[in-house]
Amino acid sequence: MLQTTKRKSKSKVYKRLARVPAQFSSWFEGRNWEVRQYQKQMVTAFAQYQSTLLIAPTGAGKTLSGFLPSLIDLTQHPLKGLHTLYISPLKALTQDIHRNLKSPIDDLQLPISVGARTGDTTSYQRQKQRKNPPNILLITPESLMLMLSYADAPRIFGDVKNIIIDEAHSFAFTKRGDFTALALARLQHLAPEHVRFGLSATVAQPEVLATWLGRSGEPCKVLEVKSRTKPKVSILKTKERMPFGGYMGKYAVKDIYERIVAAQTTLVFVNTRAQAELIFQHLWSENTHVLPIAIYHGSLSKEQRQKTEAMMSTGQLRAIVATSALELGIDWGDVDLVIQVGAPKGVSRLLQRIGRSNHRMDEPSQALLVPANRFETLECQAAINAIKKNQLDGDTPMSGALDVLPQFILNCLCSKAASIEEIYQQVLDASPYGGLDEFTFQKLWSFTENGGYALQAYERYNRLRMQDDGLFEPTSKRIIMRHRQNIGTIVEAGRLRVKRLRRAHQGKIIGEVEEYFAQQLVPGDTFFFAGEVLKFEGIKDMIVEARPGKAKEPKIPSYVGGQMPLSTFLADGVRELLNAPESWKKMPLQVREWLRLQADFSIIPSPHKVLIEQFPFRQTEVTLLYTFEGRKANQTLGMLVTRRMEKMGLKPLSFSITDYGLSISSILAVKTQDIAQLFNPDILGDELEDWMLAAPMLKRSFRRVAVVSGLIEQQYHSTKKTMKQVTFSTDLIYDTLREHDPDHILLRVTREDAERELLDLQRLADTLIRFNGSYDFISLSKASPMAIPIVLDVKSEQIKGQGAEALLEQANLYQEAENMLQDVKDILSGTNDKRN
Amino acid sequence: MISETDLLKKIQNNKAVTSSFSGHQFVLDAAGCLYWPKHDLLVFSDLHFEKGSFLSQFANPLPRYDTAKTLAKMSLAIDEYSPQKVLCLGDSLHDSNAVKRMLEDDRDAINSLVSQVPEWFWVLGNHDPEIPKEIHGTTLPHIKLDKLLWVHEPEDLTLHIDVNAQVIGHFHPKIMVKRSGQRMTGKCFLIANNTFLMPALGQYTGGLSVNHEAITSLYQGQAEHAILFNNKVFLV
Repeated sequence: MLQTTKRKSKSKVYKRLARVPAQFSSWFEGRNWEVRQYQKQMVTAFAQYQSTLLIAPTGAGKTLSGFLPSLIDLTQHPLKGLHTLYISPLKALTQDIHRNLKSPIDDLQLPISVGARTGDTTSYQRQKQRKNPPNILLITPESLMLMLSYADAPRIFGDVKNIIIDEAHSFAFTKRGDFTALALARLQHLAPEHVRFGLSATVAQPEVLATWLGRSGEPCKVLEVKSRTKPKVSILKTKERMPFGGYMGKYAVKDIYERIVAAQTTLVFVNTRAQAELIFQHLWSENTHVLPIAIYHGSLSKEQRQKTEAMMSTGQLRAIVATSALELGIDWGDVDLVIQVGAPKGVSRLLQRIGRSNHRMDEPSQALLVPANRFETLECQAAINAIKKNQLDGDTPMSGALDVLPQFILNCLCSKAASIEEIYQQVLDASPYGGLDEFTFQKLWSFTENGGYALQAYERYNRLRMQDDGLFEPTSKRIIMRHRQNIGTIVEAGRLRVKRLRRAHQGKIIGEVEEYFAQQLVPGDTFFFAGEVLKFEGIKDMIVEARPGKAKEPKIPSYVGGQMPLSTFLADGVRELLNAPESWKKMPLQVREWLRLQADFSIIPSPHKVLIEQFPFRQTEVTLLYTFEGRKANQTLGMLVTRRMEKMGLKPLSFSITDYGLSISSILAVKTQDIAQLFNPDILGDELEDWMLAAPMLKRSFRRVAVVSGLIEQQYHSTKKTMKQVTFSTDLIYDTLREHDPDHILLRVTREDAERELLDLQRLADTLIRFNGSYDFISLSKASPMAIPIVLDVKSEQIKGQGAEALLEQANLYQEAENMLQDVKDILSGTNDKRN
Repeated sequence: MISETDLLKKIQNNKAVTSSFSGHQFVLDAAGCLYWPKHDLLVFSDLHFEKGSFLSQFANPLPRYDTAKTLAKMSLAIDEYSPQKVLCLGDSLHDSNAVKRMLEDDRDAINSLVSQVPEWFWVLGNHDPEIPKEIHGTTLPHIKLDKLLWVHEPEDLTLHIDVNAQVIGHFHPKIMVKRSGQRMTGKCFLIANNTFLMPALGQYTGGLSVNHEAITSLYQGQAEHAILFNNKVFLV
């Protein structure tokens, strides 16, 4: 039970109904549905004040289960004011739910009002909602936090009885999850009698999610509905030649199209927006039957997406090419095939995507996996094996992100003045922060108060002031206003809107592209966007202006947000597959040939040794380590090994990582005798900390931390700053803090943020010790078959060291030492001046 | 004046390169300053003192250590070259209120540097049409030396007698060098036929690409660049 201490409630105390009344069951029957067992259990749980996590496959009427107790309670005991909060990570979901709730309320003529509140809600509606809150409010975490900052928040939220958190699994273990947990802790303080219902898809460890949902030390109850069927998943068999590298999957477009023709409605999932644009274009050039095929991703304008959603729900489309933007929510019913193009990256994610097909619970979903290159086939096969064995990749809960706390502190004080202790107790109540020590909280508080030692000279950082009674409040209205404009944890890469021109500067906004992409365009350049080729004309008032064009080989919008991390679980699966040649038979012939080629030309990575290949590639020397330890550990290893190479004079230039390995390019080739020294566990030495703080990756972490903690604002005077401006400021502040205030709390926060996002020191240390001295080193004349997809991955981390200097120095070679001496003599005596 | 051995050591360590411009030999230092041995003259450009405090007035909460940092760089160069003359090529102050906002310690540090050198010249720039009298040294619109015009913004040379080339600041040139698939970016000196561009020395100064029209339209023919990278300098 969440809360047993009785608070004086404005509403009368009554007994909640623990069963589904006839009125409702007959409504279900009228639609040929039945009230399912777990829906009844949810009603009972609500009556018993029992917070519950409901885990059920898609299509099981999960969302309705969360609302049913509220509908019943509100019918039995009509109420003025807010009764139920529905928190959803997606704006689009709130609209969909709004529609779905309307049918029982209208059909049964229930005395219940419903409202939605997101970033898109008009200010008139906001005012109305604030004055007269609806019974059921559908909201995003950010909008909820904003409402909690109002002075009248206690009045608005005081009577809340039910809080539903939808798709909890999708964001619980992110910074946004920490943010939501804090909002819940605040609600706990304002409305102690509420019940929390978490709704989630199948997860590996339900108890971990239940811990997040409950209060600190009080995990809530778990109600798990098992799926009765397993999806049918297979890998595409094709006659086309499958590439060694690349991540687009263009080769398979013909096969994909054939499947679309054969199926009723198909969802084609891809991993990046750029890939969505490309696959969409190629599908249309194959589209001899002129089937209605649409595109859907997060960069398209809201109108465009809503249009596609509407067409899909009325069955007018045969296929949609979509990114993860379509993974959650919205029920469509009659999708009968899901195609995943590119590596699945995680079993849970794949299941979520597959679950989009066939929303009838009792029939198996159909899915087809299309690996983009041969290496990805291994990942696809590992995912299929895991699904067969009912294994899921789990989330690792981490202690709450600290940069969210200054935002939360200020948010609470905007609503009502409070003492440090009071807020600290509320923070402790949020489960991710249950273990937060008081000293750290004090430091975060003083950062919120005045910026901390190095920054306190600035007026703008004096955000809090102590009143005569010892309670703290924001120093000015301006502080409150600026805070409200910048609530949230999502630090966006700078984006510019795209306008499709008809004539002169007239046209429609069709979506957004990343700032850095727009900046590299020259007038006349062409790019794929929203399913057509656009010709760039210029940037005007922060809007990219472009006209429909006809080019054949356009540039493709590239999006930063596209990369999805591979779950370590799946990486292990791939390693197992590699070492079980008897299981290769399941894979396509081309892949088997590729593996044999690898075995002949180089070595297949073995389970007990790290394979290290060395070969020349594009005028540099490449060293490739197959660690299979995931991106995070590889990233850290990359930073450490290149530092060691720098010391050894091998002149490293850059490194790039994948989930499977680390590829380092350098001027000099790594030799057998270097390896022992390079991969010795002692690279995790003393100066590690200091050195890492200087790395460019930490600067990127600091950028996020600075924005979330309120050091820098993305939004200023209602105009958004470009990311370039933000970066300029944060980089300078970071350097200054490191130099003048190395103990500043934000540096610690940055370090922890990097730990969450980038580094995996523990795992790396284990790996280094485990593989100390056991490796296969092989020197090759060129890249091995297995190395190709890895070295073709262009995202690399540059090292500003001897290597780069050596490249620049090549131009200085004419300055031979002997000439130099004479030169200098002449220069200093002034004789050289006249010679020319 | 810097000793032979010290200068040679600097050149061997890529801390300086030599370059000839319009018949004169210059030493280009990795710190971003220029030394002209013939006149024992050290040149700094675009110091932009107090840019940090200027920007922090507009929701850019920048730390205020930039002036001190820039001064530290200058002080180090002056110690190394111990020149007879120092020339600051304009935009030394970021705006007309810069000196008012400046910390007293920083202002004293500037004056103490000025007093260390026998002759100190402030050439005026668009950001600093005047240098307040609290700052010591001689103020001028430009300087002519050996048929070279030293000025902040480029001028039409045909309007000057006795001048055949100019050394300017103002543009904050930077360059990106691609080699073996790697990209290196840094501030740079630009050496063309009759125009020489100084890099900006100020701590918070940004850069304009040397391929930008504003810079390429300044000269005819080829240009040579010296890139500042990792506290070293390379001719590219």
